[in-house]
Amino acid sequence: MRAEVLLEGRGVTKRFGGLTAVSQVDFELHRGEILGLIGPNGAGKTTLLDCLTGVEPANEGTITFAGQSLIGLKPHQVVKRGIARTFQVVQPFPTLTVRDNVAMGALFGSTRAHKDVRRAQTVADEKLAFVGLTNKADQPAAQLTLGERKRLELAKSLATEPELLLLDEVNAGLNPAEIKTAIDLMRKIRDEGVTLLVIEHVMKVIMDLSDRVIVLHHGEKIAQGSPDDVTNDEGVVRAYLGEKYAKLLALDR
Amino acid sequence: MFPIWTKNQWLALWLGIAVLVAIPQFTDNDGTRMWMDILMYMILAMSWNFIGGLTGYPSFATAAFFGLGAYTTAILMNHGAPFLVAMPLGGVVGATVALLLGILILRLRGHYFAIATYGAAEGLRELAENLEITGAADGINLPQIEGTVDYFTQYFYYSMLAVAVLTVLTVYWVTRHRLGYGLVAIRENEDAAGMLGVVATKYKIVAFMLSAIFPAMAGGVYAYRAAFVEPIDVFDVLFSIEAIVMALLGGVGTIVGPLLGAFFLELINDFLWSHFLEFHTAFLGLIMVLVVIFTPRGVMALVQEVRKKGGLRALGGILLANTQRFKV
Amino acid sequence: MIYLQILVNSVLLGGMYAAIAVGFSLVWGVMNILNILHGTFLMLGGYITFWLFHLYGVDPFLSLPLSAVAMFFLGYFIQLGIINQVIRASFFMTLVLTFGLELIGVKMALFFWTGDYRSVQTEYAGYSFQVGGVVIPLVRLALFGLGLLLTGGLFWFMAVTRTGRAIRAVRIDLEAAQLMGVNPAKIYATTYGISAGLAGAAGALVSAGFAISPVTDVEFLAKSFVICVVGGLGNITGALAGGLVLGLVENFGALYFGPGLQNALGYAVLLLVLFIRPSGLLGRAGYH
Repeated sequence: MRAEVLLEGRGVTKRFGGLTAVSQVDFELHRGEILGLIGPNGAGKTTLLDCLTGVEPANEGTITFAGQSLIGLKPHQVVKRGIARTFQVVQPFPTLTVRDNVAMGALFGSTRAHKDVRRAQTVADEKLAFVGLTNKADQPAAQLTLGERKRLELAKSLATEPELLLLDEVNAGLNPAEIKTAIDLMRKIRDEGVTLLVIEHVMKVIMDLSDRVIVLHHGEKIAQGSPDDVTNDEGVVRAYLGEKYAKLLALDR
Repeated sequence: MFPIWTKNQWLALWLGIAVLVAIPQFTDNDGTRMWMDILMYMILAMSWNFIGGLTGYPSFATAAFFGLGAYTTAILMNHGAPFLVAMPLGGVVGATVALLLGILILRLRGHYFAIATYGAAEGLRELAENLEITGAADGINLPQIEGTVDYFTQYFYYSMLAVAVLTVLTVYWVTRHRLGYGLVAIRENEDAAGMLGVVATKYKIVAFMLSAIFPAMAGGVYAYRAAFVEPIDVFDVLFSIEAIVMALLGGVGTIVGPLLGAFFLELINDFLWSHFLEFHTAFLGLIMVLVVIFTPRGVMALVQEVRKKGGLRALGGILLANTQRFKV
Repeated sequence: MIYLQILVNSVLLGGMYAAIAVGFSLVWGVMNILNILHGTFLMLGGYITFWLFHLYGVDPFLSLPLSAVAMFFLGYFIQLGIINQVIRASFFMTLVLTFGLELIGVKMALFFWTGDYRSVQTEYAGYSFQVGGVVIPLVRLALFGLGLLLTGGLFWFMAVTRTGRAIRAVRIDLEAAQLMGVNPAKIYATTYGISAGLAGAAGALVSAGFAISPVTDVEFLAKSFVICVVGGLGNITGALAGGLVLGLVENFGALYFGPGLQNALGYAVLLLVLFIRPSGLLGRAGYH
């Protein structure tokens, strides 16, 4: 039996002027699973996250989280419902220390917000230990390497104590060793009981990690299912590699 | 983020306040007046720091709130209100206008925000120059304070000191609490702050109100002391500029920076006023140019860096390095 | 009839206002600098015209190019020597820097020339003609025409010349422009010089039709704010629209509320526009 549906979208659509970035997308996310969201560049993956988090409100459709609608909420309200997010382009508070960066999440984002600064810093230290950045806690965030910044971003999101974590290409630009660390971290996060929605370009990550995968192309959902199902789907291959390769692949079989 | 105040720093703060309380006993009335001016500029600089330093929204509205407080105090006292009622009410009026203005303009960023605050301040001055209730360009008189020169010099001094202590304690409170963290998060990256749950609009408005209330009260003291207010004086944009330069000089966004900046710039000002009255603003301009080019992070940061790099011999090198940092 | 007259006055004024603001808009758009010195260049240009007329009887419309060239070089070297040093700092720092320079400039002007209002009284200052009952003062018409010429000239320059293209390239993508062999230090200095030169020319216009004083510097800076905010940055229609709106607001404001409040009304329009459209009425269009 499947776990309860935590997040559900029906007919989610986002238009920018004449361009439809996300078109009539349905999806659901079960508590405790890792859902991969993939698709070629410009497929609308990040825009879909923007719709979920209120950064770019959807034009049409419904989005419910734990039974409650998210439509019309601002980003700062969404995070308090228990949805945290990292950005493809990391957004640290550059001159603040790594610890204070993470403390911000605990101070403001948590559903049981830690109004006390020192308590928030304790939480920050816990999260930094979790992502393995304890030794950098007192450095300004601007001095971190890209890999470290991505982990900082994770720690910040985790400090908001989310039920659902949306990860936007945490592995982009990382080397294989860093990617391995990141994958282990994501598993660890899931084992703590957090549900994950992961946008990813590195196929290996998606294959290793996801329970299910959704594929977007030109803003539309073209496939969903287990990682194996999806990679064998002709439509998906066509979207990624073009018509010619799809035919070759079909012949191959 | 903000250093937790050590016991020694607390001691220094209370010692400082004790010294300030005692000052009128150790100096003549001229000296007391000079210290009162220093306190006034400390209030303006620390207040600007709430919105400009911590939140990163460079406001030019300090003069607007100062003038509003001055006029509110003047008008209320002319209607029979005692000073100690009128002056705090001036603060309330300043904060209320900041609230309304903030709702209007705190959605703006960068240049547009700076221009809007400047426009609001100048607009208020123009308004004061044309309304009957403010006595138009002629200004209005306030009731004269009774008593000896010693008495009223000290009366104004201690009023200003009270406002200054209130400001410092507010700075302390804000930087120890969520509010201060939220403001800094907005400065560092407003979008990311929102994603973490900071309600930016609310926080910015609170910061703007904090930047208004104390200058408005200082304006009230200033007005009662002068026994006369006129638009060109109390709405002078130089109040905004000096507050900004003082914060810059000491270190924008720090706790002690604006205090030190106000102290030093006012000492310099005092010297310039007495020796080069005519060129006072030109020197202020020169200081602005030099600070921006040579110590953009303020004198405090400079002193720290000099210490770290081994004394005064390193100073030249550090200044030179500062000039290279933001070159084309 | 009075409405028509005021409308005509506003349009004539608007042309000159466009020329006042267009250089300010250029520096803002290309270098992200809120140039407080703009009004100072304008004031200095006005004084050059005034003194040339007062001492040697040079007609203000003849000395206009001189004001422009002098201010071009002043602006060029201020940017090259001072502002370029901190150009990559936050806009707040360059704002404080230009504000400091403005305080110095105005103080010097006050010291040398006092705060008295001066105006150029040419022989033809009082000439005017009538069209269908509407009085059109000759000087105001000339200011309008030259204002349009300066504004249009800038856009021609930006669109057609090599330097204009380099400026646009630097604005759009600094790194790419550098790869193409553009020297940003020089381009910034040139841009700032052009802006200052336009301000100098506009100052000559102002002194030919109105009174100038060191303190007018802030007044025209504020007008530039309003025009840029209303019209948006960096497009010719924006500058003209902004100038026209300000002209209308000032003239009709004076009619309904008395002349004392016309500046306050300008600020009210500024705040209103920013409230409705946080990035200006016509938005950012760029020099295209």
